[in-house]
Amino acid sequence: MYKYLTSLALLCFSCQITDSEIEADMIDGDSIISPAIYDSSYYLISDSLATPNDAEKQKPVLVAVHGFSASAWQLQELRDFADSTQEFLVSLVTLGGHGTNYNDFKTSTWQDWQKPIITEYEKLIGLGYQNISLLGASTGGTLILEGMYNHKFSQAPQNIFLIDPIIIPGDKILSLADWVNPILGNDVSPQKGEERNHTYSNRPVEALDQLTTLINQVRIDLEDGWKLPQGTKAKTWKAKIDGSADPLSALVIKRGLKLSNGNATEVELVESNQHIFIQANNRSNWSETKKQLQQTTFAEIQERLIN
Amino acid sequence: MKTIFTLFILHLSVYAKVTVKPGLEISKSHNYHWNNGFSGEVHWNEFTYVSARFKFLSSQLGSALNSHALEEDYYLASFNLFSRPGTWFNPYLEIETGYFTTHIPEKEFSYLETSSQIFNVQLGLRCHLQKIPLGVDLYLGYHLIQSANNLFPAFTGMRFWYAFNI
Repeated sequence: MYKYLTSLALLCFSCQITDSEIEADMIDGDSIISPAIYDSSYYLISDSLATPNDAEKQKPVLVAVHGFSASAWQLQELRDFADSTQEFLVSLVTLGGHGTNYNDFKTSTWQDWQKPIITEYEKLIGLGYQNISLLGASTGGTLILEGMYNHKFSQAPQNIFLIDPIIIPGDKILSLADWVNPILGNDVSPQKGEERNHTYSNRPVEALDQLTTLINQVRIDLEDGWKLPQGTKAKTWKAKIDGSADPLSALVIKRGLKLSNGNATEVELVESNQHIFIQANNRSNWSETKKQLQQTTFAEIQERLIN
Repeated sequence: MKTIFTLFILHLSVYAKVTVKPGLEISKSHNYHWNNGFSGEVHWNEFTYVSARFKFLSSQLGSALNSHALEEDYYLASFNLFSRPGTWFNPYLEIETGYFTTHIPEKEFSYLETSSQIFNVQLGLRCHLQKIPLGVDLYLGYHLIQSANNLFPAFTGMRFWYAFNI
């Protein structure tokens, strides 16, 4: 009942962050950098397959974008799936300001986060790839929608796949980021195990403010309604219970995002209570059902890419 | 005690002079929707430091007008405490309760909690003209209780009202 009061109190008393809380095995610090930053020859198709032959140019390429405060590691399992089936390629983009250290994350804007998506997409077009699609998880999806709405991609992608896109935040306290957080301080969400190397534990006020600005803008665009370019299809998957991205995000997309012919885009509510339900990494409560859901979703993505 | 209370209410309703203040209201949930509507305020002239207000606000008169935004309605009743009564400028505290509901015809989303009881507090500033019975209120509020997926915590608003005595 007193969710907001409790949240405010928790933020007040437990969420202040100082540099001393950044430990050696956290990506927040200077000693660990996401491998996607220093080894782009594996993560980015524009780097690993920079001289594609004619067959490779025809092969579907999926530019996959992770969510807020994470890194390319978040979608590693999708890449593994693609590598195992050899039916499509996955280019794992790391958002700008992510994957290096706390300070980079703190000072970057949402436009900075978005730049590597557009850069990779344009590079792939320049290299001759002809069947490019986009996949965004959480904030990655929101950034893709913003880019599409403002015509930031020079050619229309074949498909847009959105996994738990955030349009309405799960925790409504996020809407106060610009008012309250400068007083209360950063949001601290300690990561465990290997995830400490790949996902920020400290979410600076400035980054939360950027996130709020982005999702607010994308929500308003969707509420006004807009159409995808001709030839682009879209599907949204949304976990039915999600503490980070409210399931109503999917409803806003269903109502506002249309195909070029005016028909609604596909939206599927998924029986899951995990944000980014296709990510299994480091999740201790990963059940066989969840694994099946992940694999089914990957298979559907593949099906849509090759047909 | 009951007799005293009954007499008090009778006094208020029958003998006391009452000022009614119908108003038009513009409200915005912070980083979310515009919700506009109308209100009616009752001011007992013998108790100038208190009033009661009833209010209807809807995004259908705001953000959802000609858009795909969620249609959200607020049915509200409040109690107000004014300072500096009798002057043209009154800071006030409003304690409000009511009901919030959302119209979602899409069946697959019917499992979501899109209605909620409301209990909020507001701090406001009231200014009114001296010779003409017109005024404006500005306020900042915070929902203390909610359970709906789409009820955002903080809101601001502005109300224009006209006063006449009954």
